[in-house]
Amino acid sequence: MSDLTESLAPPHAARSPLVIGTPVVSFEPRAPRSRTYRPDTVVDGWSTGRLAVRGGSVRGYQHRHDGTPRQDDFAIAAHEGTGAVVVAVADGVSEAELSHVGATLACRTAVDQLLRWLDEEGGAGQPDWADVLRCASWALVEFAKAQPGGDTDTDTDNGTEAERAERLLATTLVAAVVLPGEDGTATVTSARAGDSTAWLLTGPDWAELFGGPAGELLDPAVHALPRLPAEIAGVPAVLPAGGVLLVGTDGVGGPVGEGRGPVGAALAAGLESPPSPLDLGYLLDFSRETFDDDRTLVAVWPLREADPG
Amino acid sequence: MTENLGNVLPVYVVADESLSMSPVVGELNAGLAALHRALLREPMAAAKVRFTILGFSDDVQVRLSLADLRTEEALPTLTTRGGTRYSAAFEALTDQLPRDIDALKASGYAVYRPAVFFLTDGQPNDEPEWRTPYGTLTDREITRAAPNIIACGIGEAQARTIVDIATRPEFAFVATPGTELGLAIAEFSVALTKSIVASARAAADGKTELVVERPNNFVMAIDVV
Repeated sequence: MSDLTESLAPPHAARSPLVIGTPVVSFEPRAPRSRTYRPDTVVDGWSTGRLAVRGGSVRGYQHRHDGTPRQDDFAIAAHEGTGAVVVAVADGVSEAELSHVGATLACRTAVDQLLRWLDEEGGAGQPDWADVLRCASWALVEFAKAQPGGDTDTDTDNGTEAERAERLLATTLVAAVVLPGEDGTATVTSARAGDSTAWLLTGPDWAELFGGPAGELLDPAVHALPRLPAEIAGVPAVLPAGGVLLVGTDGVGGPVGEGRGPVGAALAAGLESPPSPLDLGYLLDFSRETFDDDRTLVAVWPLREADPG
Repeated sequence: MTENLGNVLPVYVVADESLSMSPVVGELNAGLAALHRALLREPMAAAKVRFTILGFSDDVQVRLSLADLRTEEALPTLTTRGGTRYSAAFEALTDQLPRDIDALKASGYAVYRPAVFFLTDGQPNDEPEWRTPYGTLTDREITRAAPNIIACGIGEAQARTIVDIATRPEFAFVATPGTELGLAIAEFSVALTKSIVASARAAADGKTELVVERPNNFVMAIDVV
């Protein structure tokens, strides 16, 4: 396999990846080993008239090289009654065999639960974030129950099934609800489990919504669903006119750092206004040595009412 | 971290150069060469690794320091000399690791917890004295950069010692007679290097809880995979 893949030119070499610093070596990606279909790259984008949304998820260079599926995912939805946009981003834990499925389940369940909350409460106050994350966790447990290989004697034991879900499907999750406000602003509430995160980007300035000092060493160990932090609180924020909410995985957060390097600058420039979804995918797929993790980013811009977005 | 230049993993090969290793030093050198080749076949992993080789017997000699193996033509050759003082190796690592990590961070890199590949026949002359400096090196309260230690037993390896040196049971490796030692070390090391930088579930602690009850509001989203 390596002879074949390494003898091929990079795919569609007419457009090389955006190189930032030293590029990753060039190679033809390997097919992902997954029984469920898992595209290498997903992009999406639309506008509600008050908010513009773009999302992209690209398989990391290491996973392309190894033939591992993209373990990141995202889901986005517009809520008609409130004009809100709901976002979820997840990063499946490499150690868990079906974590790519876990990431998808977590995102879709969280978005579904948040849309229900908007239906019921109209966006007033905060969602019950602990319940949203709990439901996303439970989707993993339900899925794990249906997978072959479980111990039939303990199939009814939820504790055992939760542990199995953790081994098979563990994933981070960060979710947000964005409500359009006056004068091109928006209000945001967000919560997470694990190291996926969110930022307010204003011009070149990146402000992370979830604080916490960076550790001394890079730590690949994360707390992930179906395990929840004991205390979960929504983080509120106001998105100023001209700003953009970014929700992403550590595949983006790592190379961005505090946002003052070339990756932060490239993304800030590319996201000054909503790019085409394909352009967001291209931007996220930048090539920079040692940054080879899956990358997922959803961006939400408040629009002035007359702005067609 | 204002600008992250890259994510790097400091890897230390700490090789027993005592005279008792004489029958296997050729295989050990072949192992290093095989490791070099194996890593070059893994370009993502190779880009992250900064490679140091320490040879130890009664003292420790630096054979290579924080090298990018993609730019090294060949690795240095190990030779045998003197006795087997594990204390010397663990003391040198306790001294060297924090300084190397500070230097890498000062250059703008984010650094993974170091990995030490400890290659030995498991017959130290300083039993049990070596266990004190080993404890200092591996205690994360004392040594913040405490490494993951992967212990590879070679030759007439004493399996008990190898298990004691490895910081996790799965990090202990004893080459079975008849295997091609160099290749075995190389494959084991590359697989571990990749697993060290891949995301993993954090150990359960009192600050987290596993969701084991179905939430009242739970509805299976209809469009799931």
